[in-house]
Amino acid sequence: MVHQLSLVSTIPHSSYVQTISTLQALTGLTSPQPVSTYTLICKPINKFKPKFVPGKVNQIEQYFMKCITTWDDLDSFDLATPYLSDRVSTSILFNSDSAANTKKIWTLQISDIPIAGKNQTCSAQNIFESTLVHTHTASRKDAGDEKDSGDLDKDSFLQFLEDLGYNSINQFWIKGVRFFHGDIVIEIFKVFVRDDANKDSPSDSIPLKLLDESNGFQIKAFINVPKSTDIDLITQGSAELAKLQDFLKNLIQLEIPDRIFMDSRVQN
Amino acid sequence: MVSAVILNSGANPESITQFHDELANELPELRGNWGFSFKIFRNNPYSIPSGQPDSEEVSKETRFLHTLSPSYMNDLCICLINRRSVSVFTNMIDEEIGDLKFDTQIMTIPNGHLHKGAATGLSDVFDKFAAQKLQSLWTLKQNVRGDGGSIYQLENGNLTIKTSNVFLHGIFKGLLVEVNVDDHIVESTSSEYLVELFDRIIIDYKIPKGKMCFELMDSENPDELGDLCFQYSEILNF
Repeated sequence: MVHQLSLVSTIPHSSYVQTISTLQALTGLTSPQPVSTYTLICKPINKFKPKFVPGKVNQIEQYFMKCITTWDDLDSFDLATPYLSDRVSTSILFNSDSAANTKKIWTLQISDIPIAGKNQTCSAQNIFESTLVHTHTASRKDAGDEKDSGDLDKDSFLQFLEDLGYNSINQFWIKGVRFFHGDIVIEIFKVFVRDDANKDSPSDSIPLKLLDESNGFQIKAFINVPKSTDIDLITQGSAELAKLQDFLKNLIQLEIPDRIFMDSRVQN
Repeated sequence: MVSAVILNSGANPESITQFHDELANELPELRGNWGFSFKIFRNNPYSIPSGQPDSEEVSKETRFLHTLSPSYMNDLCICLINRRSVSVFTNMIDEEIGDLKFDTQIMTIPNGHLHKGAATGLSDVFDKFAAQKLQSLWTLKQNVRGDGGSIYQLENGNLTIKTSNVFLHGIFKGLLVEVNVDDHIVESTSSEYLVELFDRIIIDYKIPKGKMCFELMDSENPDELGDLCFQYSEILNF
C-alpha cells in the first residue's frame, strides 16, 4: 500500500521551457527522467447488491481499477514542440499475435478517495497496487463450456481481467518527464487519447490526440509514503510539499485537487 | 519442469520423520527450508451478473480464485481463476535483486516499468490486494499454510522433492510433497507418460501415499507456475 501526498497544477505550453529550466536548477537534475505510461480504466462487470442487514455496517465497495503499463511512441516526438496533431501514434497492443504480448507487464491499481479534512496542506490518498509479470490462459476442451471456445484467441491478460471480474472501459496515454527533489517527485506530462477521427494512419498503429487541446501540461508533485500509519513521515512529507509550493508559487500554482473527482468508487 | 503434488493426510510425526530419513539416505543436496501460503477465494454472491434477473438476490454461479505464494520465490504470487486464467504477480524489481539472480526461474519486473512511471515500486502481494480491494468480487474462504518444509535435490539436480506440513486455520491437515522433474529428463507431457514417471518416483523414494495431482490444465500448452497452482488447487480443496 502506498500513502500518496500530492499537489497538482497545470501550466500553459508557453511556460514549459521556463518551468523545466527552473526545476533543473532547483533539483540539479539536468536530464529529467522520461515518463510514458499507458492506462486502461476498468470497471467491474457485475453489479454489486449487498443485502442490508439492520445494525450491520456494510463497508464493501466496488472500485474502478487502473491497469498501467509502459508504451513507446512510434514517432518519438519532442514534448517542447507544441502542435502535435497527427504526429503521435502507438503500436497496437492487443493484436492476434498473442506470443508478442505475453511478456507485457501490468500494474493493477485501485485507489481510495483522498482523505477528507479541513486545513489540509496537500491531498492524501491510499493507493493499492500489484504488478503482474506473466499471464496464461489454458484452453479447456473438456470443460464443455461452449461459450468459452470463442475466446481462445483473446489476449491472456484481457482474459484474466475478465475472469477477475473487470472490463476495460477507457484508455489513455501519458507522456512527460519527472524531476526528483528530496522525497518529492515532480511530474510534468501531457495526456493523450485515441484519435478515432484520424483515418489515414497505417493500420498497425493507433493515432493519438491530446486530451487537452490547449496544449497545456499537467503537473503533479507527490511523495509516496509506504505506510499510512507512519505519522512522522506523513507530517514531514506534507511540510516538504508546502515548502515546495511556496518556493514555486510565482511559477506554478500547486493546489490540492478536488477529492470528489478522485473518487474511484462505483456508484450502483 | 513437470510437477506433481501429493497430500498424505494420514501423516503423523513418526511417518514424517521416517520419510525424511529415507530421503536423507539417498544423499540429497539440501536446498533449505520453505513454506507456502495458499488462499481460496470464492466469488462474492452479491456480485450479480448482468444477465440475471433483478429479483434474484445472489449470484447463481460459483467461481473460485486460488492464490499460491511459495516462500522460495520472494514475494511471488500465482493467481488462478476458475482453473483457467493464470497470472503471476511479483514485487521484485530487476535492479533490486542484482547479483541474487542466480536462478532463471525468478520472475522480476523490468527496470523500465518502474522508471517510466507505471508502478510506484511499493506494490502489495496480490492475495492481500484481492482481500483488501476486490472484496466486492471475491471473498476469502480458506487460508492454507505450509510450514516447516524442506527442499531436497536428487538425481544430479534433475529431481526436486519438497515437503511441507499443511495447516488449515492452524489445524494440521497432512504432509504435502511436491515433486519437480527437470525438463530434460521428461520425454513427453502426455498423461500416460506422467503416470509412469511419477509412479516410478513414488516407489523409488517411498513417498507416502495420498491424494495426488500431476495433471496439466492444458497438456498441449503447459504453463509451469499456472499448472503448479492448479495442482495445489486440486489437492488442497478443503
